[in-house]
Amino acid sequence: MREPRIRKPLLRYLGVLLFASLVAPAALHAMALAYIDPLSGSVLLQVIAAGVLGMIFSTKSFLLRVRGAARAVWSRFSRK
Amino acid sequence: MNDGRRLAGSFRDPSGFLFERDGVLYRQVEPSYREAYDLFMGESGLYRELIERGLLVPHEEVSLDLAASSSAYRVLRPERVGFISYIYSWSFSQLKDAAITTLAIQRAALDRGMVLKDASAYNIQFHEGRAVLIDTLSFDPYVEGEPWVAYRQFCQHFLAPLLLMSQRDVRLLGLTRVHLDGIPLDLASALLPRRSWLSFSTLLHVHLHARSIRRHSATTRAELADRRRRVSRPGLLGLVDNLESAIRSLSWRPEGTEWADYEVEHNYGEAGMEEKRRIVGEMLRTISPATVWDLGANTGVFSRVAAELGARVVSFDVDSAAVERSYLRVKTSGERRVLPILMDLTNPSPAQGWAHRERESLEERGPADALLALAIIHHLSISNNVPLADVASCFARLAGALVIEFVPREDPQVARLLVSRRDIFSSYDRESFEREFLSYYTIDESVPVGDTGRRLYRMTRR
Repeated sequence: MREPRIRKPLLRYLGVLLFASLVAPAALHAMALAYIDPLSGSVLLQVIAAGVLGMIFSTKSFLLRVRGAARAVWSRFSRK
Repeated sequence: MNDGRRLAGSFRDPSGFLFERDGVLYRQVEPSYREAYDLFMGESGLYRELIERGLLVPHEEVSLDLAASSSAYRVLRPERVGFISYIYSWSFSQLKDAAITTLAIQRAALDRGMVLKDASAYNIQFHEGRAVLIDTLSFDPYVEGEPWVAYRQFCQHFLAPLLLMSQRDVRLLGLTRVHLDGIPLDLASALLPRRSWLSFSTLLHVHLHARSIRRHSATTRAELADRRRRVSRPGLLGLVDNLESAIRSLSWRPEGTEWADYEVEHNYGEAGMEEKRRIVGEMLRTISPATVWDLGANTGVFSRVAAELGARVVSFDVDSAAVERSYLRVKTSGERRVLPILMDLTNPSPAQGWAHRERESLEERGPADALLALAIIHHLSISNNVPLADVASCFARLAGALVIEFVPREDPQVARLLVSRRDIFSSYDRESFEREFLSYYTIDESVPVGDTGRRLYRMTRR
């Protein structure tokens, strides 16, 4: 299945600000040393961004799967 | 085993390096990269997928006897890209396609248990008309929970310049020529318009990103370790998805620049253009070059004449809109032999980076078999005051054969260049042109273009 593409609603904008204000001070995963420097601040920001975008992505993936399943059922039903 | 010449720009990644032996390009894989390389080529299926989708330059494994040093784990012979181009020579859509290709590769890698460990624009090249990854060693095994180490690099190399070109001025691409590791995000943040703060993606990936980098610039490794937090796989996919949405939504219309409409407004009528196309075609057929550099190509009308004769053509122009239009034509027509490149011939991209050797100058990336220099001599000699002898000397270094158009002083285009300046170009005439070029070339043929007063020459370097 094609991965869903995420648009940018106002809710997401407000969500990231809320999320950032709550968890920003506490985020970094210890990662393997890379040959390029990811920079600490970039990693911290990424953790926050991925938290928000991951939730949106998962929700959207789920909804798309539900929609796909509903369409499949509907097309089978209408063929009969 | 030790007569391979390591490429000067191939030193950052300890996983391996490029070298040349007898004019053939090889990539050495070091033992430290063994596990990742075997996973990439084998069990993950990622190499096969990327090749099938045309996202990676293919390679073949060759004998270890060809290695540049005894430590080699593998030696690869990658398919060679005809002309190496850098981000600062790309049009808006070329950069956009390079960014989307990088994200498509990252998505494919995550699906197959690997991750892109770098996201440099210099790892993408245009090959057979498409943006492809050329660095086979850019992948590491994906470890659940780890952030994407190349996130900042992607934002600096791709997102920031695209945003600046789209929302501020397309010429800001030139910043990438100064900042070889991409445009610093604090600089991009300062240059972007205020309205960009209202875009969620730009706010997150540029403005907040820049502030977070600045705020945590003094954070120590121990402090970072104390703040452990996972980045889940859906989180990474969401990040990639959002970056792709942001990039796909960006646009730039190629209009309003000096040369954008030149093709329809130029000095030739339709019959004159057809005559010129015929003469240029015949001259190129006589030369029969495998590679052609078309200087001042505009949207590439004559580049296509050369390409139709079987040549691989790099189509240079100084105008962003002309290069963009030419590239869009490459895409829509599926052309594989024409590479439009943004280049100011009065200031071509130099050798730069570490020790002046990391990125090659235009001249170092040659020579081509033939140059096309149509309706450009007056821009070099009059607009830029370059003596005719210097133009001849420069062209002779770039290719062995030359098809050049001389535009006389009486031509309306020359008159236009002189309309607001003193005419100090008394030596700009056909006689001087031929005399100066004869110092470097033999003139094999010279043909007038209809009744325009212009003349096409076919020359061979002495």
